[in-house]
Amino acid sequence: MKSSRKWWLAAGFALAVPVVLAMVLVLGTARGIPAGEVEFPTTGAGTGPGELARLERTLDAQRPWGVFIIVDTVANRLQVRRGEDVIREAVCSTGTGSVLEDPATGKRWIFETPRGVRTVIGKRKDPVWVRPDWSFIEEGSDLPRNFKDRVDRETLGDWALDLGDGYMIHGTLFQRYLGRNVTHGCIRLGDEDLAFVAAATPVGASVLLF
Amino acid sequence: MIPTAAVAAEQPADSTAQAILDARAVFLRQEIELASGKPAYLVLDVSRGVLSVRRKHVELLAIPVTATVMVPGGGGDRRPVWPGSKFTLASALQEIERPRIDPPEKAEGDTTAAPVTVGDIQAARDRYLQAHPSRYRLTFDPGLEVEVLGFDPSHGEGGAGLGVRLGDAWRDLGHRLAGRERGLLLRVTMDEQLARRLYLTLEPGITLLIAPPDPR
Repeated sequence: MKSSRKWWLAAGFALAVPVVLAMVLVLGTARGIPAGEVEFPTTGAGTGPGELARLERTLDAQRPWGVFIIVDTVANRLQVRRGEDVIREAVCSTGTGSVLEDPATGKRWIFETPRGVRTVIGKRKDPVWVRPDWSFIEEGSDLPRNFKDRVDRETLGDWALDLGDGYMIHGTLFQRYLGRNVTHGCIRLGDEDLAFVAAATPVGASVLLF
Repeated sequence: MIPTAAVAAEQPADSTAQAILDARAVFLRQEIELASGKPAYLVLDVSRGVLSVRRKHVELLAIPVTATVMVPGGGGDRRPVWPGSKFTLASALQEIERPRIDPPEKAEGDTTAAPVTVGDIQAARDRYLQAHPSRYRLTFDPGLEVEVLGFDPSHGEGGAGLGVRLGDAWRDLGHRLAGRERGLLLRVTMDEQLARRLYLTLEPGITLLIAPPDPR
């Protein structure tokens, strides 16, 4: 038993030494250089400054035209921009990222504000919210039999900007929760910011969410 | 001899400037192509020390970074060359488990039930964000590995500790023993919260551009 242990120790030592030596060898010779010093593949295209300026103009033209909105779903901040200019910055609330599963059917919803590029497809004053199934399931309530029991005239505030697929920028009854991830995916704003955003943002404006 | 020497001294400077103009033109054409679509893309500006997340040429997130290219031992003094100018993420991304909401009836008898107060909802969201890695390695095609090292700024700029260097050595050794060429390893050091944020922002197959310095 004792000699077997010795044998294993010796074998382990014999294996470890060359591995450690090899690693030390590599550690001793590897070096890091600033990424700015790495060369770019050569093309030999002979680009002139005029061509570069033309390309930069083309690139600038890819930015959303006119007024657009940026939503940061982690910091819960919304910006209204025109080109490089920030014309309004607001604290908002975005999605919790939580998952709800209907115990009866197993259907799942993810309450995440979608990232990507969307378009303001409509603007509504005094919007009415038609409560979807998940809002009842989340409360543990039965689904209403009548459509009128789904109609809610308070929750969305003064304006709703529709972004498609049920997502909206709208107001809130719970302004104290602005700056937090508490929504089901929509973007909530305080009253004054919502009024500004609704006035400044035309239908067709781009909304960049990240 | 003197004019020849003068020409010889000028020529490399001109060719370097021309190479930067050419590389910049390639970069701009690639960004034009990406910005004309909807997906997000990454731009590492090596001269500004900024890794940015962009959509449609709008900088959504600008992360200050220290970017270093690791040259394996035995490479000589030759300066490395980027293996391309446009890279596509090939690694799979880790799926982070989301917080769960349980409807009230179920929650009453369930001690593992999801939170119901706003404070708890935000805490669950924060835990979800914290569950994203702050130190990770991403493989891009062609031939670029990016190692993101998030550090806690209150503890100074952590960077590559012994564990990271041993990991490097181990991988280098594996490549050498297998006789394989290792891709370029780009090590990017940043604030750990921003490293998590970056991971959350990554999308499968996202494109990374390396921006050459602006010659103007």
